[in-house]
Amino acid sequence: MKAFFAGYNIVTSLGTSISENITSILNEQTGIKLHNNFENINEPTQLSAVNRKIIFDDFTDNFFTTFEKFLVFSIRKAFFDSNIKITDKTAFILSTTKGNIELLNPEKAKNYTEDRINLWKSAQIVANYFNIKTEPIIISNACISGVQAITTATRMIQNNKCDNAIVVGADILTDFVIAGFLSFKSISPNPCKPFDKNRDGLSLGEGVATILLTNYECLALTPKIEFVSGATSNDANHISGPSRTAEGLFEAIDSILKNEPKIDFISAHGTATIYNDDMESVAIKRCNLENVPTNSFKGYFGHTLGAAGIIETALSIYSMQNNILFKTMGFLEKGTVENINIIDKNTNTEVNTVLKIASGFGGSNASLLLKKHS
Amino acid sequence: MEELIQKLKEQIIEQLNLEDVKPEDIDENAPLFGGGLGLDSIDALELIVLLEKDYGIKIQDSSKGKEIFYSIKTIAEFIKANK
Amino acid sequence: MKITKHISLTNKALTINKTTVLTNLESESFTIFLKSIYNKFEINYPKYFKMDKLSKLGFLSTEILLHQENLKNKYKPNEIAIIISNSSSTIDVDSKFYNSVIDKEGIPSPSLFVYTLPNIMIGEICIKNEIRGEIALLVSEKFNSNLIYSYLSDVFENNKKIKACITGWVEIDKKDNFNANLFLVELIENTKNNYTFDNDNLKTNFTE
Repeated sequence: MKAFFAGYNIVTSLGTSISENITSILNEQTGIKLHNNFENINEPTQLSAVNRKIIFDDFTDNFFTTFEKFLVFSIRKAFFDSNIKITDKTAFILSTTKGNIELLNPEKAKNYTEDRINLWKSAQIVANYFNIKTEPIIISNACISGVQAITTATRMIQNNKCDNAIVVGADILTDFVIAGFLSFKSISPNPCKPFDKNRDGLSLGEGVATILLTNYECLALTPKIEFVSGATSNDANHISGPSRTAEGLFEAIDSILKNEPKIDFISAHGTATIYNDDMESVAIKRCNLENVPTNSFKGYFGHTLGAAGIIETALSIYSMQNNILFKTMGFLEKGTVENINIIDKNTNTEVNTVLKIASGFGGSNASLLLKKHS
Repeated sequence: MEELIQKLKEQIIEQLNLEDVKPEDIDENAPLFGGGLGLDSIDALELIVLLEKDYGIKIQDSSKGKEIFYSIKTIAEFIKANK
Repeated sequence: MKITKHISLTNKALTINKTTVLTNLESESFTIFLKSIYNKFEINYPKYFKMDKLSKLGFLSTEILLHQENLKNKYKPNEIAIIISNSSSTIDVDSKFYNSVIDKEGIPSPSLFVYTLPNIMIGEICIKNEIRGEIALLVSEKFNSNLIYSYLSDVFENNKKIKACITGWVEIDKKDNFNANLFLVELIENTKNNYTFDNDNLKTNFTE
């Protein structure tokens, strides 16, 4: 069985659909700006925040938490333009790092039962709402969760375990996460500058994204895009810093690239921390992919954690459908340890094969290969 | 100064969860990082927290961290100079 | 595929291949009971004491699982996978970190924050044992043998480098109830203590 692309939606600070996001990206806008309205955060911080009102207006009450509203909103929208329907063999895969973590605040938790803070509880509630019959699969593997969730769905379809799959990933901005990244001194005082010589940290964002996969080629959206394979690997180096020799990411890419002679585009993780971007440049070079056009989308809407891999894969799918590569927002001058081909202007070109990569805390790395069928 | 060094040793052992390390095991002149204590980048961030919380000193420029946190002695000197 | 070893470590006892090795007769706290096991197995790893409870539990359980297994001689780093599940993610350290965020006098601690991701536990195990294969942290309400079996089957099917896997359940809740059940799963046959790797054997070996 092959896994085909069957629908998507993304929500970021730049909009609540693919087309709104693409419009902003083409206008070279960033959704990252100074915010100082978060409780318990004393310093104004560069963040990428979703216009939550648009999401909340879709709901008449607070049966769902904020995080769950993000999920439901995005899944509904992903089905609008899709040919697939939820069946008894629809898999549901959720990618998130912190889910309902804001329920640690008693004020926010008061309308919900105590178990609501658990990721499995959110997944159950959303699955029930959509009448999904299979047991949800929840992946919480830091910043690689999104890419890994798509790989998981791909494998399930390839191994004939489901008809189709809903892959959804989200994380929302909370004082918990903002304070954490501030304590790590990893947030840039400016909108982040991925792969740039003067990059000085990431920008934190929030968002949600959904990708639908099907095993029926006839239900695939055209041009048909196949999820070919993915892999994960660990650096075995350090719990927060990436391997200087890019051990894990090299391994993850190497595992899936065996039979693929030509990659047209790499959608990198590109958080704009000094060490992450250096590490990715090393991995790309070690895989002899240094000439492949590579970007990071983080300059547009920041690092959206559990949503990031799915948002960036969705935009990569748009690139394949429309044969356009997007520039790396915030990037001006090369400055990674290895010289790689960072895209610095929007370019119309044939995009048939895409490599998506991600890395994160815990030494985690993930890769995913997508291919367009002509 | 001696008193401050002794106090710093105790605080660092406590804050960084250095099991089975006693204050007298730490040489105040020896490099803190890359040495026998096995400290890493997260410990460095935790030392920044320690200076802010217990001594009211905020390190604005984190690139200075390397000099300040070279040894217990350099931390003590930094505290004396900035208090 | 075979389950070649199983261990469980809970508030009550430590078992290896269903044999009770140590009982927590005095109902010692998490920290004290695990420290006694750390000492019994003569582990010398100062970083253990910097870990949060979930990582301590996952790390120590893996040390016991791999004790005398000599995995390093049998497999390359990229041939071993680690697929672990739990229910409460990192609720214990989440609460501690959150208290440091809302404390007006306090400063949020980076060494607590890093452990608020459940997969850090897997990172710690990989660092100690030099493991670079597939990794996954899955969350489910209760131990779900079917989830583990299905996920791991796909890993073996789709990543042909993988020849062995450390898998199971590592959970600690808000009240310090803890339960680790880890299985060593290998593609090769092993003459002793082996069960076929399937849903039933995961379920029946799981110790509450």
